[in-house]
Amino acid sequence: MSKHKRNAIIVILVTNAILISLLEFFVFIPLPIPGIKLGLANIITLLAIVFLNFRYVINVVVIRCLVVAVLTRGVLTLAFSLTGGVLSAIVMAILYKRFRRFFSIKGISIAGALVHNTTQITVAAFVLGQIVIFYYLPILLISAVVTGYITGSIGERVIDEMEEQGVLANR
Amino acid sequence: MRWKNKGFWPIDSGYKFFIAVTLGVIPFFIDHYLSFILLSLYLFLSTYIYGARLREMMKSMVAYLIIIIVPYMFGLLMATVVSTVSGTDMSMVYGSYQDVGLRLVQLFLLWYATSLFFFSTPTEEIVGVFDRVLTPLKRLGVPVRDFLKVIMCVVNELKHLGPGVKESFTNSMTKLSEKSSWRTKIRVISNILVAFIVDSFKRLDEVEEYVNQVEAEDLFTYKVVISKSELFLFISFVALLYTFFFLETYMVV
Repeated sequence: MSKHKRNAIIVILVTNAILISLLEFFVFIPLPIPGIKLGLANIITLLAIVFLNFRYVINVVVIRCLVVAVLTRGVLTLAFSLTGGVLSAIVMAILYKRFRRFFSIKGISIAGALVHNTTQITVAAFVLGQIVIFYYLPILLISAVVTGYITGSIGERVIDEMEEQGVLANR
Repeated sequence: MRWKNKGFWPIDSGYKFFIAVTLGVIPFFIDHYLSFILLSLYLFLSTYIYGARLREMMKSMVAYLIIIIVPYMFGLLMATVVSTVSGTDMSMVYGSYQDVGLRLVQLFLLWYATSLFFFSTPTEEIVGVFDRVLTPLKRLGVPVRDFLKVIMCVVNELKHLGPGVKESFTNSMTKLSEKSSWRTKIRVISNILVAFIVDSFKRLDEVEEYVNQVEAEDLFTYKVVISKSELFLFISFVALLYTFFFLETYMVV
């Protein structure tokens, strides 16, 4: 694959990740808990894992976090989104490439969400120097199972559709 | 998004970046309460001089509150409950409130100082400054320019597609009744997303051509401009550093 084609795919994936996050505003979460969101952008990470090499998966995640930070001027959130995003992508990629027969896309998505939330709370505890923050972890883990299942279900449908239509088949 | 800088003077973005990073680090090296007051005042004045949008900055602060303060307050509440129920002394675990208060102030000032740069600089210049700052990595062979070019391509794609997609999403979602169940909403979102993502790859050739043709120089730019205003601000900054040194060395906390 040429460098320009690879970059074009990354541009489309990252743009999609940010645009589909807009849909989250329309979903009313029954139990509004601070720090919890659906994480629809995770669908794009799943797509990248299935269709691209590991290096490009990390590129997609890092560029998404940087673009969001630059556009929203969310400097502080960058540390959290970057560590959570990269670690969860690494775990999901390992599960998909090495243990695919044990995990479905939904399972991989749930694992990613669990790692993402755990990393974020660990970074918060580290930054504040307070381990009491970990009391918040069970809430985030329960929510990760629910949100990971939802994004995994949607991701599975998108992957099936893309495979059926041969999108990115000649990657 | 058109960026309107309403600062007193146009200030060099590289200078703002340097000052923002330094001011963000300073809170971790000072102890005296007068130093904190002085730093806060300097940051507040800088907000107006740089033309940073205070209201937008405050909105961004919500993320700071959600990520750090809410989990901490919840954890503190739980620790107190556990301590009361079990009768154990948990103070060793969660330390003194003074330490936590100091850390929260330091983090707030770090966030505020760096936000000053981000909220007073156009996106093209922010990326341009990064291109300049990351020059050592470029010399080591890291494709920084390619990376930044992709970032700006995404920003431009978002500007180009964003309004249309937002309208399309809004139209699709408003067709749903407010009383629609959560499950129905998720199903509708799922259908929208599948179609949206699959369709987006139909533009692959178009995007590839754009990425191929556009030059990094067309996407982001930064030129060092040192004028009287930067010199004046730099002198005020050095005076501030000197005052910190005096307060921290000779004044008793």
